[in-house]
Amino acid sequence: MAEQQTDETEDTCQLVYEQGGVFAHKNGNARNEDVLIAGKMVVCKRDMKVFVEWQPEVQTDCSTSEPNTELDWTQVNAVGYKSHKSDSDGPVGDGELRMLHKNKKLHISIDVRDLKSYKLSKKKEGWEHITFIQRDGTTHPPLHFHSGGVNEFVEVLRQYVSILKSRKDRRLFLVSEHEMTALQKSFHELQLFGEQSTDLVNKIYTDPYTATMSGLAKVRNFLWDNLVVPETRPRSEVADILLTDPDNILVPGLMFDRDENEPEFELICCTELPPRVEVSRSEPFTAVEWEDQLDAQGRIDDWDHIKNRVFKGGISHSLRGEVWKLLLNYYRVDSTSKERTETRKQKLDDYFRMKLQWKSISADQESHFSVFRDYKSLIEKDTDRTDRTHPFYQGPDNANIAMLYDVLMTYCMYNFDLGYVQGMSDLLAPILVILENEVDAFWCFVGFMEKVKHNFDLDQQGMKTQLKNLSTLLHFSDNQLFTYLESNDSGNLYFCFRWVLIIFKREFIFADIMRLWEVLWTDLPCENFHLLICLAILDTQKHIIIENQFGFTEILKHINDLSLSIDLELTLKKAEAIFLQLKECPDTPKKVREVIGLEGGNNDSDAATPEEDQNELIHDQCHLVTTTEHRI
Amino acid sequence: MSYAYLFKYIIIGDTGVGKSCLLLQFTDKRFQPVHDLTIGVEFGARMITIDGKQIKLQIWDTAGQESFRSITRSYYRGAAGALLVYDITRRDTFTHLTTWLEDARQHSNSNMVIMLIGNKTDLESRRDVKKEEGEAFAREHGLIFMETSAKTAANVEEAFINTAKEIYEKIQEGVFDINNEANGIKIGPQHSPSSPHAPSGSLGQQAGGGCC
Repeated sequence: MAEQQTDETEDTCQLVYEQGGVFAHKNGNARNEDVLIAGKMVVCKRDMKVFVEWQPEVQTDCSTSEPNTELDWTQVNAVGYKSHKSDSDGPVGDGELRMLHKNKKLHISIDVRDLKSYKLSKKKEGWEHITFIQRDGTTHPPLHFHSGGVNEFVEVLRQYVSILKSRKDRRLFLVSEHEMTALQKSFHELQLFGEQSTDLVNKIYTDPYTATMSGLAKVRNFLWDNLVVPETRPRSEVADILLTDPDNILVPGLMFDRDENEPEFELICCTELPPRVEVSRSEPFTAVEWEDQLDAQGRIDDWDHIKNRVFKGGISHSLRGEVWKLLLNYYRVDSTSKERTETRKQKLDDYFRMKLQWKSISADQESHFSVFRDYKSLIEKDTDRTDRTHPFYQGPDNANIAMLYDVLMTYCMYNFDLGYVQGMSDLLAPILVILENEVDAFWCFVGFMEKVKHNFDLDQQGMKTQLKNLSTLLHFSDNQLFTYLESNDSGNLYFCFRWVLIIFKREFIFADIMRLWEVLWTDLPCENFHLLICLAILDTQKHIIIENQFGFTEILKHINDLSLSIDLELTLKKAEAIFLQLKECPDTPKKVREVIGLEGGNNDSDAATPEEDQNELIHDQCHLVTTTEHRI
Repeated sequence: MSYAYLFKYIIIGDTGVGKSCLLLQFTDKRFQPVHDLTIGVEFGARMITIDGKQIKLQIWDTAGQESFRSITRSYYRGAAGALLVYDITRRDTFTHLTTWLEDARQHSNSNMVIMLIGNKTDLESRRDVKKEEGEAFAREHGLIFMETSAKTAANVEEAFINTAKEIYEKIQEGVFDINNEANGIKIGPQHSPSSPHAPSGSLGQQAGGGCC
């Protein structure tokens, strides 16, 4: 195990400590396989800095893993250390596959200044192991000392950092900076100011008061952060630590009680989700099946069955118009053919009445009606640039563009408070393609908007709520990605904005978006299933994002670039499988269950006592609730 | 292709003033009036040369409608340059400049170079805002100013490149600290020790390999 010494001894590397027989432990993938990689633990000094490193014993392509030795810290790979059997690890996208092959190696190198905490294993519990967590949220896999020696290692580490024992977890140790190490550092190195000193000097020059005061405030923040560490550690770190330790999982009810009054500081405990099951999809719902469902009066026999079929397989293209009208509340699902004919007649009248309202506004009136004028000009501009490459909307003077315009203008009259907001034309375009009729398209669009209108709030409150809900789901279902995004300025998930705003319209090809929307319109298998679609796509992209160490810009750009290259069926399967995991997991927090509508089952769940809440969680009583604003 | 510097730009302004068309004209040298309307943000990039140095412009094109201001604000961060665009045939897009400018100043780096652009000079017959008005606004607020046409490409190159020149001069003068990425400037991969957050091409190719 000493043969790799040369890699580290170039430059001025001084070896302080070395211990062989230390195994990186990757705990279970989807099939609960454990992966152990043999290696050695090293503490060394390089360029005046101290590094804690774990080096794999067999470095197959080590030469390529070493160009980063000048960096403050190098984490060549945090997640992709799969065994060579990983080929059978279920379907992965092309890109992901490439990434896994590229980054099969694992090598941990942490500048001790970046070390935030470490967690030791329980004394009696098999091999001793240690888990490192960096300041940026990175949590390394547990390192198992098969030949012992953790205590010796910790003693060495203590020579370079001062360590506080956590008050809440006796096996968690926090690296403190407030003693010698902190004093030794210049302001510059501490990065108190988030900007370079020259910039700071400029600021002091131009605005001495503000610059000085904000500088002092940061010093105070620094002291606060470092002196009061145990109380103020971000929740993400806490959660991650709990992850690895089955005996340390708190009673779910205890955590939730504490959260209820302070949603901003909710602690979502991450536990191991049940294994992800393979979900099957079926063929589209066909015209023959549809005929079978109608009785002599044209009444639908079993609407729930149809919805299930649509959820599992979508709808045959030729039948879409018919079924979309039911999914989008154009017709009542218990109506007869005769009643549907009457409904349609009524809707026809209603539509033209509203259309006449805006059609009959004179130029003079319009000149005194700025809100209307603005909507009109915006709709004009936007219908001219909506899906113009689709055959239905192609070419100059296309009559369907005029129809798109008329429907959106009439919608303004129907819901003047909301009016027209960019993105609506994207939602209408596929509906008009299918319905091919202005009136039908309008009323189906109304039905669609009922489900998603809060996306278009002027203050964007609806969008913010959705992204927050997505964040809640992600925090629980994939803490590693959540933590990664948080530490890369992307915790607000704004990079999913377009996905959510127009329900993935720009992410999938036309045929796929129709399939996806009809699936979502069934409201199955839970509320906010579109957020699980987000999780599924993020899950597929996770390795690429993390292994490339993408920052704010790279993440946003990468997600943008996925447009039209996402595999829909795979995504649908994965999203449903994630739903099943959340549903089956006894520790799924209340917040998460609420987002996907699994919480309660009675409308006055707010009135439930804590004990009841707890029982409910423990016994995993899942009910589908079908009343919230953001269901699709 | 390698570069000495990378500058981040953001294009802002009312909807329909031609932001995406300016970007497309600059990056692809073509005018496409039926380009889908922008939702969220889109990216473009092009390499230019200033003072013999290769500079990569990474351009963020934003949605213009008021509802989306709050999300657009999150994109200002780390921009070295902004193109603030209005439509010379629509006065309201000119009157809204003040709020755009406030937004930009409030959410961006104080050294960010702002270029004011009056677009659509090809529609001279429908002009609603005089060139002098644009100039006066720019003077008053310390912006550089140009009138452009994304359709005919008039002044489009100049608008993007002059902004870059201004940024470059600020670097030379030491106003911009190039080591601080919050200023919207990154040093090219071969010019500095590699950094864990260096711009990397998609799928982990070498940095600078044509990402966006």
